[in-house]
Amino acid sequence: MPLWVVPVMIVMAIGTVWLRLSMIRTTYAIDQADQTIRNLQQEQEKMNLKVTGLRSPRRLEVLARTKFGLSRPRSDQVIHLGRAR
Amino acid sequence: MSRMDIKKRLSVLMAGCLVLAGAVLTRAVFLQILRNTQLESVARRQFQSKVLLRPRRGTIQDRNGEPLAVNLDTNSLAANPLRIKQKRTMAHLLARAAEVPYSKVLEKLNEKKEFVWIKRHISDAELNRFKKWQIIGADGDLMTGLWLVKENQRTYPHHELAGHILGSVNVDSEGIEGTELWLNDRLTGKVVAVSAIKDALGRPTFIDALAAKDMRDGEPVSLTIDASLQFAVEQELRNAVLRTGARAGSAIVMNAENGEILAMANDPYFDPNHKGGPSESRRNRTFTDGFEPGSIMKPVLIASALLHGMKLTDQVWGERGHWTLSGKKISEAEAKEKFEWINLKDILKYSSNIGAAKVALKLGPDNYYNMLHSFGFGMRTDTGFPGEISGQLPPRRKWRPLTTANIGFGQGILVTPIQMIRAYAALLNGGWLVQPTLLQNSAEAGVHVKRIPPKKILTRKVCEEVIEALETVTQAGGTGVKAQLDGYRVAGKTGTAQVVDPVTGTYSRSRYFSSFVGFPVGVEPKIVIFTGLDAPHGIYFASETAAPLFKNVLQVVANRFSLPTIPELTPAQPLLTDSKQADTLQVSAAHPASQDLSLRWQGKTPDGTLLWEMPVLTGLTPREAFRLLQGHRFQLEVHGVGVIRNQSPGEGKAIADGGLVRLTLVEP
Repeated sequence: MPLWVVPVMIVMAIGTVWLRLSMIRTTYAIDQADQTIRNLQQEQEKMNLKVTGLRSPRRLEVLARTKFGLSRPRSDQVIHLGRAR
Repeated sequence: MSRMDIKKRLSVLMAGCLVLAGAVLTRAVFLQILRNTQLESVARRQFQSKVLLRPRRGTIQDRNGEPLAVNLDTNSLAANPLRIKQKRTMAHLLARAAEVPYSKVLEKLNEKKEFVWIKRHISDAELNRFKKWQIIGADGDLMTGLWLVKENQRTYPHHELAGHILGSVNVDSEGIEGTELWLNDRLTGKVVAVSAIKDALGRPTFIDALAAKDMRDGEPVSLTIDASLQFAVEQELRNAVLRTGARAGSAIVMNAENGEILAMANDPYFDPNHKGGPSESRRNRTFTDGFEPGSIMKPVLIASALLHGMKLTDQVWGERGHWTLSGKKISEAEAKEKFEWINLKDILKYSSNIGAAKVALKLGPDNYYNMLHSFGFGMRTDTGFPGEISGQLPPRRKWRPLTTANIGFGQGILVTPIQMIRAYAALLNGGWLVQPTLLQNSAEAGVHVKRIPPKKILTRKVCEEVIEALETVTQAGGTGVKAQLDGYRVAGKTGTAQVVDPVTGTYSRSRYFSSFVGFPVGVEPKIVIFTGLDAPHGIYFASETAAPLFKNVLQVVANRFSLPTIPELTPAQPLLTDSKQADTLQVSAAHPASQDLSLRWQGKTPDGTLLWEMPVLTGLTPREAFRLLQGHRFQLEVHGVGVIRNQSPGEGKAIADGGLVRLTLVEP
């Protein structure tokens, strides 16, 4: 067996290990990115839920009645310019 | 010791080492090269694991995309009891932090399992407590033997809004009632188990990406419900139940032409975010509860009679309020009603039981039974909604003359609110029996809905005649005057039906089901409304309970869909009558009283659009001007504040329906 085979094999072995470690590092990075995405999605969902709660008909009704002193219009107070499409 | 002995001993030692090395080598060959399934599985367990990829449950939204059921990521606390040493201390800590009974936590920690749930869907407050009490460390790691699992939690952002339609899910996000149960397969999506390679800490790292692609999130579902209308209808129903002291109530708003249910409310109600509660509050009565309809069945009888050749003007003898048939006494609802000859139209207007019984007998049991069958009574509407009952139409062979007479005025037959509203929808839409639906694009729902095409059951002429008769119900002298809403032609029927007492098996003298079914006439879209109150206290007549509720529901429907009012039916609006508003009174006075303020018809354009003559608007407030211009889809452009100084088109000029009107205002 020629002598140069030994360093080549050593380099290949180190290369294999390095490659494997890189894969693992990349996988962790991807996992981390996934986690960040999930967290942001979670945050977005929470915000959407908050917005939905803020514009909920019940809340708006309570606000309209208590804060702004409004009441539901009588039929004669509503003017329909045309039919809703 | 001689040299010979040492050599001998070294040979023995060497031989021993060789044997030992051989044994190790043999074992290594045995372990590494020869196939060993048991060892393979041990290795697999060590490096590989199965990961369940759970899809997100589909959202449920209303017809305008308003979210009604969504998902929220939450954490659940799990434990491995085999790795927890001081179980009592841990149980005590967890019980206080997670607000779970100590005995339950201890019981779970004593199980011989590797996985137990301590608490599902923990709140933010509980999570903060875990951190504060060091159950979760500063680095985010939990105490030994505990871990947090991310899960989806179903959330209903509008709380009790449409709760009976939405239903709810269990802790594993599987539908258990309502739409959540009905469309569970579609909402759930596809769960896949993929293999993953674990790292030294047991975290899955390399996931089988190809297999993961098979995971499918649940599909979103769009309901036909309009959330704003639903809220308003629920409010009106709740107020009516409170006002009348009724045991329960229901209201439905449906598009008569396509069967789309726009609002469906029940009381008592519940919030699907909270588990449990009595079934009284949780069931959707419009599908699950049957009732004897009483007088709201009379229009179905009259329509059947007209279809079989009778006329609205045909008369029957009213027996002056009391009639005995097959030994049983039939009376009018009120003792003062002593009708003599009464025609079919007045049978509806005054809700004559004896008149209806006689018409039913004249129509004949075969014809009447067949008509009830074609209206869909005694059969489910096949919306697909869980728990729907078919009601009860007695089999034809069991019909005696008394049965025919009773069913004529709506006793002796069991119907559901959804069946009843469908029957009235057929009267309004020209005679088509449509399938009620809660799903937009229900064709996409596939197996969940048995699609039934509309079926023609009545002629247009019959429908028009019945509507004409039903309009008299809400006019002076009719039983449904309190259902009349200013500005609209309202047709409908009251029904006050006796309820069978489950204890005695006879009709109760104190419990009634009051209902009103009706619709505004001559407006688009064609909307039909059902209102029903179970066991109202005090004055229980539908004319005083369900009819006013109908009117209020019609009011919110009219506001929501901008149903155009009929000017002749709209009470005259005096111009600026409020004496407290001195400045506006001056304006009113400024406007010449002699001028004609109405919009006059001028003709038609070649394409058929109506042309109108512009009235004088100068000097009016915007509200007064809007009232004059309503109902023609004019585009209004208003500049400034105050009263109208200039108008375009000018006075007497022609304007087409949908045309642009510019108004310039100045402060008076």
